[in-house]
Amino acid sequence: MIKKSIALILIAILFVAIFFTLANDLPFGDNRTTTGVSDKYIYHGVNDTGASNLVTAIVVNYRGFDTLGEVTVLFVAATGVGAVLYNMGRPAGKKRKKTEASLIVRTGSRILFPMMLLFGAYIFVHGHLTPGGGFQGGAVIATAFLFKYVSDTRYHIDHNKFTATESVVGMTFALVGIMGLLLTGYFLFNFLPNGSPGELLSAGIIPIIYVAIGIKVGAELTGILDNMMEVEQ
Amino acid sequence: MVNIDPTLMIGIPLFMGFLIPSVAIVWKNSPRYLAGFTILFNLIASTLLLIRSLNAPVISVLGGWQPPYGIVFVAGPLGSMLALLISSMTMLTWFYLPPHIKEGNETKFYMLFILLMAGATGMVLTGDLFNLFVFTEITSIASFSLLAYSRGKDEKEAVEATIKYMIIGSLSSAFFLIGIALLYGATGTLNMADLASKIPSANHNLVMMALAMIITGLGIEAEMFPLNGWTPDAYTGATHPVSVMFASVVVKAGFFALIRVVFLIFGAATEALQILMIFGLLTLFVGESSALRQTDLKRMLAYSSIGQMGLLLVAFSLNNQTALVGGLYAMLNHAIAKGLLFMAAGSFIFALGTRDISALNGMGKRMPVTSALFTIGAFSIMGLPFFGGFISKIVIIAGSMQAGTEGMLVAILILSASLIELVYFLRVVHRIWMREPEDDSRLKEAPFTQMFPMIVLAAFVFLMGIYPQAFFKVLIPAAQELLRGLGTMIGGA
Amino acid sequence: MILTIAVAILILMMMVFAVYSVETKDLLYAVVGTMAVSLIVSILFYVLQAPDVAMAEAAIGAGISTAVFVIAIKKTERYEHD
Repeated sequence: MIKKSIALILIAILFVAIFFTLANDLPFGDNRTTTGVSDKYIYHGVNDTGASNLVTAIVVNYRGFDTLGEVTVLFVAATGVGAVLYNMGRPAGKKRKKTEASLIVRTGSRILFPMMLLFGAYIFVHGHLTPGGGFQGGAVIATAFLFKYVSDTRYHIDHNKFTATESVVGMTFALVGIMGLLLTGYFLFNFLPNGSPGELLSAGIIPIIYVAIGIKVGAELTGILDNMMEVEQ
Repeated sequence: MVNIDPTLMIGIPLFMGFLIPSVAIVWKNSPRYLAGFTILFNLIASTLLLIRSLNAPVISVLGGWQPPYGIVFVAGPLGSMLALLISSMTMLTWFYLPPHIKEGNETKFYMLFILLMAGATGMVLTGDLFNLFVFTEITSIASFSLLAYSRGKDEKEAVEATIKYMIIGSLSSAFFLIGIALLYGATGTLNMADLASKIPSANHNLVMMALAMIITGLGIEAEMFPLNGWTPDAYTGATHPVSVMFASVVVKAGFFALIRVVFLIFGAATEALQILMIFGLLTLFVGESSALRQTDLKRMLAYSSIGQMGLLLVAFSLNNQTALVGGLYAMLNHAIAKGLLFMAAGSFIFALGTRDISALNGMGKRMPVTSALFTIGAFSIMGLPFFGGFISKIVIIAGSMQAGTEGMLVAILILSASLIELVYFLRVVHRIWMREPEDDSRLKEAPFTQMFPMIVLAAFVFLMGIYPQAFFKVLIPAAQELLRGLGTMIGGA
Repeated sequence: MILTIAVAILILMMMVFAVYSVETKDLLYAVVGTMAVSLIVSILFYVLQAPDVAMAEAAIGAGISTAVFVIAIKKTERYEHD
């Protein structure tokens, strides 16, 4: 009890301190495009990168290296989930037993599954044109697989195929970076033509990277779900 | 002279990390060789980088966007020295690995192993604050996963340590991220050099809050005192090579990130240095006195490692060139000697099957070579003459003498902490050589592949004690780099 | 004006759900609470003209992570003990 109240008091003090500093000192809502780096992104982003979606331009082109890192973070985290759950009482060959899903769920998932995959793919293919991108599209794809798991108790993914897919798309991203280095001397340099902004085939390397990320994120999140589903209680 | 772009030191390991799982489907034994090849590449690249960066800092722009708009890699003598340390420790640990990995786990283990190296290398080379965060994430998540993979007999213990580390580690990255967001809000930029030039004119309250957040976040990685609850469990729960990686790579990279933020971005903010000094002294004493009480060999080494991190914090917060050189020397020495100690301890525990210190009685007769190597590492951490630790402590104390009366006090405290260190390490060494073993049988020494990294590390410990000038050649420019700050290095870009 | 009021109501609801999901002993309800928080945050992101983040938050915060939590609860226990 004493421990808890001390903790609460500390949190309260921290909250008040942070809240008032932020309320007083954070230049919230001001026009700050002249002070930092943002004016360059906002006024030159479309010309520089050829992507109509500025967020994508920053995430994949200006700061593409961070994105490569974030993809790796997710990759490592998915592996980590597998690591924690590894051998945690999963008897070999034993399938998970569950009550069969109802007819409505089964039929619905059969119809919706391809649509959800398509929607996910749409999001990441159009990452440089419309809001969304690889991470969002990948998450939607993983949701589609989640649907499969919920509706069909016998469904499970082919691990080798998923691993191979993940590897290939991950390597594609890294290879695009290395190719930039070989061709121009800069890692992850946009070595393809920008094209005209607004068209599907524009923005240089962005579509390639976003398709790779989309597939990779989808495969990884599905892998996490699969790992969780397969563990015995 | 071949020039290897520093970004390849990240690009190649990431590529290989993605490649390994799919090759392993076809060729089961490949992960070990692919990982070895990658580490070798990084070792060569970082050696070349260190030679180049001694003349002028190597700057590599990512994606062709000039800073502050894009991400930039800045490899000064300090960064490249640490990159070399990271890749060489990883290489030596790679030799040490085989019997300590659980069957069936090799693929993912090696993948995580090289990604850990890539993350740590990125942490020391990047010149962009958010990029530093990304690499910190890679490093810490790879360490959680390695910890989880490495369980042997004590499955439950390792999983518990993993969950603990994972929760604390997520808090750490949350704090770090909020700190970065606040800094970006106050200055509108993320490039370290640009931040350094804009911080003096930014809102002081915001900047200080950001600094507090970042110190909290990175302090967890650097085992700073109130934030190091994960450390003993993680070191004990992990398999021996992973403990080596924690002590020599993960914690060093985290500590270096902390130092870089405080010195390079905040221009050695005095407020921060005072706090670091106090926490450093606390870390030193809490670590050393907890180590005194341990009966578990690896736990003792873990607490000793916390104590050493405290010593480093104290050395750096003295903020003069001598102390910085001493701190860097201690950092190198600790990475090398603690790596050696964890490896030797791993061999003991592997042969004995227990982590209890009392089981070490008479090990000098039962495993003479490993015992000798363990003793060398222990002597160096204690700071006996002719070993690296001696030089580092002398230089740190010389540095603290320059800081006036306050420095005197610090010097006395460092010396008394060394005394505690002396006691608990001598106790173990005494057991190893002086006590009669209960069971006289010779134990099998580790095979040569495992002995080799230990011998290399022991040789370096000696070299650091006998011929420190060679190391000062790199460390003095490195310390000057820290004191000068980033602004002059990239020409204020 | 109406937007401001709507946003204020959303923020209020978000806080209520957040406190609820911390306080409730039924973990399944807590998960639903966090899902509601994510959903509201996602709407707020959209209102603040950040559709990219809104999509990510909706797909991951309200979708996948809820599923992961529910699976975890199913494999362990539903009620929190003191």
